[in-house]
Amino acid sequence: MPLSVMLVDDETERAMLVEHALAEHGYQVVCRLTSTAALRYHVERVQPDIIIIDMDSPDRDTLEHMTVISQHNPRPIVFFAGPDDSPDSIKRAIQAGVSAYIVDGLTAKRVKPIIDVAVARFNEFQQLRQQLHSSQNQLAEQQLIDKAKRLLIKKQQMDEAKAFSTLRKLAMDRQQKMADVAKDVITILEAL
Amino acid sequence: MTGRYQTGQQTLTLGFVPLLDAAPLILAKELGLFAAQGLKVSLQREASWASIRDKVAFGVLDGAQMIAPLPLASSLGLGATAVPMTTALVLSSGGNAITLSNRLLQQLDLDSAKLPCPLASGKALQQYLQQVPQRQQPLRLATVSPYSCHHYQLHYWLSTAGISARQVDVIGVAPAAMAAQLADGAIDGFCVGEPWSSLAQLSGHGAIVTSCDQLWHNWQEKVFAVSQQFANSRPQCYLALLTALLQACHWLHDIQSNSDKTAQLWHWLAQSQYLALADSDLNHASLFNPAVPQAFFGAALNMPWRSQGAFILQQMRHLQQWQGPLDHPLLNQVYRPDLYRQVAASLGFNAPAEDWRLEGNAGVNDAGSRFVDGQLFGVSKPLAAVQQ
Repeated sequence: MPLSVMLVDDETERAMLVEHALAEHGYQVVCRLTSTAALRYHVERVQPDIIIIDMDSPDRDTLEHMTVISQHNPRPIVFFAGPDDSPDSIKRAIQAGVSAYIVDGLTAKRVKPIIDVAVARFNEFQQLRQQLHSSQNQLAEQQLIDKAKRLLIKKQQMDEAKAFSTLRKLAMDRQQKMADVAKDVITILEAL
Repeated sequence: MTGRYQTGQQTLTLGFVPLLDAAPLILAKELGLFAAQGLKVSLQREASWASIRDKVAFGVLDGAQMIAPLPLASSLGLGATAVPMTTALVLSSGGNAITLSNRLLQQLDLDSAKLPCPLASGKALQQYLQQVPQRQQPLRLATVSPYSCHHYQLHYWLSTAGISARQVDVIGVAPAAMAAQLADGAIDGFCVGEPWSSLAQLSGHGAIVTSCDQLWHNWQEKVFAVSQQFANSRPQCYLALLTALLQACHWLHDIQSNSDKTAQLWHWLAQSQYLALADSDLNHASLFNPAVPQAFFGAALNMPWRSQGAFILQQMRHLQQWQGPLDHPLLNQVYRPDLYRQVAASLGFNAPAEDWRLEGNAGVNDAGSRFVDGQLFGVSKPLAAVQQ
């Protein structure tokens, strides 16, 4: 029987990436939570074999309580730290932001492929977000430069080529980015 | 100026959880105390103790503020694979409190403005549970980590009133979520570190029934911990870190009664990368709640007492988290009073000569610990006569 997986992640898109990838590998995601408000209730209801949760979720300490066996918690889980011989692989998982809890007694061999899928998708998501972030930055910078050019053209009677070369020369002289120079130029020209 | 230790050029990353008692780490950074020791330190905020433990265990963090029982729990392999950890410095004492919902206080017939001593409020709870044995759901109380003083203090308070762990359901809730869960009735009370008890009280849904300092007076709360591997492989860096942190603790001496220093501290803690207090209801005047005593410096306070470690083992055993002898040899590796003494001496501070003491025996100058029910826990001979 395939292991049942519960995903806990407030990044909906990332959770979906992981879920699809796990499904492709033949694993069953039985529950996907974006809010941890009723985490314990869902763990008790679904009884997953493995819970994958964002390393930086404040609710990890909530799960830690479920590692202690008690009358109210007869089925303890443990933090999964990977096979003993691969501290580097668990370090990679931590750095990717993946942490996992498993039902006590599962072997590392059965769990490891699931973690690997999650780590790969967490990393992929991180890269996508960085790309998005840098393209957003580029767009914002280009808009600043365009605005500074328009102001130079309007208030300093330059043509577009002159406005651009003025900004570029300022940037080179001051060893600053074009966008930073543009910001200063906008501040000064708008005050005029 | 650089310190006496060969620290190397590598940047060290230390973890903290945004609580008032993260102050020593934040101060050591902001006052330049790490830099004065030749250390480059970057502080990293963490969302959970589990995250702190795992990142220290696998070298993603070089060291961290930890709830005092965590290095022991990690070394014993409770809840996770065993990774040996060690501490040579207690960063703070106190700061925890138990809060009950207004709803429950009404049922206990307790006036939130005039709450009795913790033994009496515990008794009221016990009588209530006896009268109402068929509640629809068991009384539900929350703590943050099951391997924390909060958790053991909450159970200690219950046990002084004869309430067993079986009669209540103790669950985990993140500090920031406590007040909301109290408000909507998901939990009836909780034990948490400052500023969360004060903030919950300010939100008006519950009242602090006791500070944990009343339950366990002069008790280690947060420690600075590293993996055994870090301590062994970077001994000079480790000593330099301990030196800077003990200096920061010294700066915090008497902080609760020093309004100038409190204002300075607030300014640092308020920053968004630390506690982001600017967005909260706490200003520098209300940073420390007089009802929740908290302290950061003292010869006995900063000392990693092995006897306190043995007492924590006893609490772990009571709650069936662990089974084993209270004179477990791991105590000698986890708690390193010898290193503390070395660092204290280098700064001209006093330090106790003994590694063990009789816990619960406050003594005439109130330097020792004290339990609310007057119990004594102890050992006069190290690792020999520790028995329940």
